[in-house]
Amino acid sequence: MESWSGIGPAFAGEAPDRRFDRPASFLLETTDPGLCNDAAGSILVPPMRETRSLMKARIIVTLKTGVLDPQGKAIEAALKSLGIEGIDSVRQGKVFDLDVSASDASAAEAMLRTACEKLLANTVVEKYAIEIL
Amino acid sequence: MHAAVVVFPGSNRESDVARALRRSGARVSLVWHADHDLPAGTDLAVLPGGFSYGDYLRCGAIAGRAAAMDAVRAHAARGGLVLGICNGFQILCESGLLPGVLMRNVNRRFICHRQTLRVERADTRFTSAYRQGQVIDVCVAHGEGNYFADAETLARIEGEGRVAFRYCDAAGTITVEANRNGSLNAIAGVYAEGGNVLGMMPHPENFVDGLIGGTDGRGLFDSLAA
Repeated sequence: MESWSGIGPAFAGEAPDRRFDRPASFLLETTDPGLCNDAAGSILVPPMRETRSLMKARIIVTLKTGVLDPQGKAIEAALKSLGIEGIDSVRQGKVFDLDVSASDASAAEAMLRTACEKLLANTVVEKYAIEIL
Repeated sequence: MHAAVVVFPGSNRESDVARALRRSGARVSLVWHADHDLPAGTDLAVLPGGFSYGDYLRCGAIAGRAAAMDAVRAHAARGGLVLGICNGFQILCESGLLPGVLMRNVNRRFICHRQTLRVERADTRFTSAYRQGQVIDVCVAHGEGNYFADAETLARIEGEGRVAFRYCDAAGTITVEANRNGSLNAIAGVYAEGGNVLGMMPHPENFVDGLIGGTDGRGLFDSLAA
């Protein structure tokens, strides 16, 4: 299981991830030939354009409040034993970084919610947050 | 009795459970996780112990969504018997066939030892060879066996008499010490609503032969094959 303790400062010191340097989304064009041509091959309608954006998304899965987290407790104790002062409690969770393509951000979010409900989180004990980056 | 033991990548107790079933008189087939059907005439589907898919994501999470599990769900919906042991119990919870979830042991350790259980009821297809309240000596071996369900679900399980086994001491008393993984209400095994699906963390298949330490696990397989 991966540890995660917060986005941003937690990852400071790592090499910058170049994947995030390109534009957040760009257009893909698809054409459906079935809609373009009649039997004679002449164009009946303009080509259909379906636009899909490529996006980065991050899903954070954590235990629900009140659910005992033995791993978080162990990490908390280890931090104390290292003499790091001021951390009152640790809850461990998971981060999923995803490349997604969808018509827009709300479609992407709906699809990712399904992914969380069906697999990525066990909603008996876990909650999830979806970020479209 | 025809039992189908579903084998996932990372399962490692399928031979032991198959041996225990055959010893009690069952015919046993092994089914690969990618298969879409159980063999015709399957009475009992068994999900064995192990570390399916390396316990990736959560124990049992990926196996719970394998193709063979659709067949197991359909089998259960028809009233067919399903038994999940250890990782199999985790898979049943992840697949939605049983309520609740198995969390990391409260002591954060992989526990592997002999364990006494109290048989909560002897009027089921899985336990008829035992007596109600009987204390049986079997084994546990798991890192995530800490049974958890929300308060409402737990009350329903208890109210409907769906607890199969509880961790207890040798005298049959439920104690904190005997419940080493920290399961709510010391629950070691749970039945689904219809009573045809049982998930349990302990390994009855370990103790079916006196040569290797005990025979208290036989009752479960004898009940099923009877």
